[in-house]
Amino acid sequence: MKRIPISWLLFACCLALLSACKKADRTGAVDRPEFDITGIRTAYAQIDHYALRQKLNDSLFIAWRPQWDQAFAAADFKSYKNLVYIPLKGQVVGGAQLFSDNLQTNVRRFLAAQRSGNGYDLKVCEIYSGQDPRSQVRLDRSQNSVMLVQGLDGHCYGNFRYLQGEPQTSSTHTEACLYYHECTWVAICNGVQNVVYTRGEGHPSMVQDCGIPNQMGCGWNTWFQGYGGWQVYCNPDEIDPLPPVYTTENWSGTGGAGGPSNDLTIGGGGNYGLDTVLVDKSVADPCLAWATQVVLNRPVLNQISAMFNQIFGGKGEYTVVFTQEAMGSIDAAKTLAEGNYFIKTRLNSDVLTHSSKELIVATLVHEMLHGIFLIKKKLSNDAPEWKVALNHEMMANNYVTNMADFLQSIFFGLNYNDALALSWEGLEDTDAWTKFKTEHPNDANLMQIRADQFERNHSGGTRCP
Amino acid sequence: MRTLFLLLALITAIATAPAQNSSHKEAAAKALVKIFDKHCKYSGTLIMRKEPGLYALKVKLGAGNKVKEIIASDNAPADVIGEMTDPAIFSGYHWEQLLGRKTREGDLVIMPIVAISSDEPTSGFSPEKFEKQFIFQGRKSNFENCLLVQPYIIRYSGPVT
Repeated sequence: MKRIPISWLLFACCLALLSACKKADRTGAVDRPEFDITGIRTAYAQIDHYALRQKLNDSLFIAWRPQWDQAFAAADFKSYKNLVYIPLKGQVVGGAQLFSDNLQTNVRRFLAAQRSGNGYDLKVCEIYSGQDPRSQVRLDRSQNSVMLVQGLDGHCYGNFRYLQGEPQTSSTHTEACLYYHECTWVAICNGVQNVVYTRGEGHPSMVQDCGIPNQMGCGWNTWFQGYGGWQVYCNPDEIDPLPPVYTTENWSGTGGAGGPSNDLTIGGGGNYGLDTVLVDKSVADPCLAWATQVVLNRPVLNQISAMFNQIFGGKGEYTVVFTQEAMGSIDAAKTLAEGNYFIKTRLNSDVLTHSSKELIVATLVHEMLHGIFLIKKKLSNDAPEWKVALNHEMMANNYVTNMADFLQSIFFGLNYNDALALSWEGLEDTDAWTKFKTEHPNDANLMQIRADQFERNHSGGTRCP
Repeated sequence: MRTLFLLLALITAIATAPAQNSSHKEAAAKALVKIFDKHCKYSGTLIMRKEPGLYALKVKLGAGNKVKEIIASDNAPADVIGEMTDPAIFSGYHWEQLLGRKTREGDLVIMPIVAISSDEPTSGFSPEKFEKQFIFQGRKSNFENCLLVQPYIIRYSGPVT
């Protein structure tokens, strides 16, 4: 028998390998399932987002936000009715302004979407290790609202920092604290907020040691619901529960500092210098007075109040004044830059008095954003993107969910869809709203009905006596 | 030798006086702008009507750095001018530095103010507005010894609802 040269054999092997790779590529391309992410997002918009929240304490909770751009189809996509996973990212909201967004968890959450009729069923599933959900996920249909993941035998706790791929129960966190006088470091270990530090400005570093989770207390079939990480909140220096309810009767505004017009007798105080944020004495309606105090005085801290605080807090360079005026039945409020360093927000008593507290606070948050944008306009030397005509577009595209978070951090019982509806109030002139209304007319209509319930001629929300 | 030192000191003082005077004036101008930044506002009503403003303040000084009276020109918006015509806002301000000498009875400083929309800075001006900018208490004064400072410009925005 004639011997085949080794070089020929090698050449044949290479050809076979190349062919196999190409085939695998083609197979992957053909088999990669496509899914309807818009339909899933529409279904998500209709559910009660509040249910997806986890309460940490009286003023903090974790909001789990879908990462739509990271959605993927399950390996058993077809057999599980086109099952799609959307990773959920945890973010601590409420209570104090979130300065860092680096929650590290050993729980990986996913929104699981399964086709049902013309829509989708949505559930939350959890995985407690760094393993790939596409190969590990098995669905437990016995749960009504939570779809737990099974099949991860033996691992009752996963990695403390799953991204690192190894257990880590001690970590150091450094946070820049440039604009605030004081910051609070919160270490969250295994679901418990167990370390709180308060330090001055600069770049302080904190160390947390969560200890080893108790494996004995966590049986084979019991999932260890732990997470750990750092959250840093800046200015003020404490995380406190809901503020006392102020009225004009029991509210001891310290006043002054309004300049020689002597017309601003009630100080804003709170997080802001008295010469910086002022509530005019014209704000006499109890509900409006309550709302301005709650929004300005308490450490309701999130992205919007962080920006507001950064611009108006402490430096005393700009002044913002809230007044109450009767301005007819059209606009709830108007904000103007009446000076180079002076913003005035006029709250319309014809619209806001006898409205719900939720609507008043939503209006205040909306106007705070206008105030921020007007200053940004000045700071940018009137850059076109800060034109006042584009304010609402900017809000609609970037801040609606932040506004809803702000509302929920004050009104814990407020349904997230209601908070969203209130946040869209006043943004009906935007391209974003027009698109939403065109694509989802029923949802847009429902959202407007939800928002209407909070107005003065209805009875929804919390009413002032 | 002593006389020589005195002479040198005198020459140095004379040589550096204009420079000092100039830096004092610059500092005085900056301080004046800061006062305006804090207290000078335009009328919200006029902003909502999209009407720009051209008006002026006439500050009457007395001896000893005193502000005797501040008068706003006739077309100044009534709802905001109260704050600007209160002499208290200029308390501690060194008028001598601005004038370059001690204040005297009858010294006048005229400070023009222009309020324009930051979005549409050129709209809404009329010749009458320019003319009325310097009419105080109904009288057009063609000749008056005064110090005229650069106009202070308010770039207003809004309203946004």
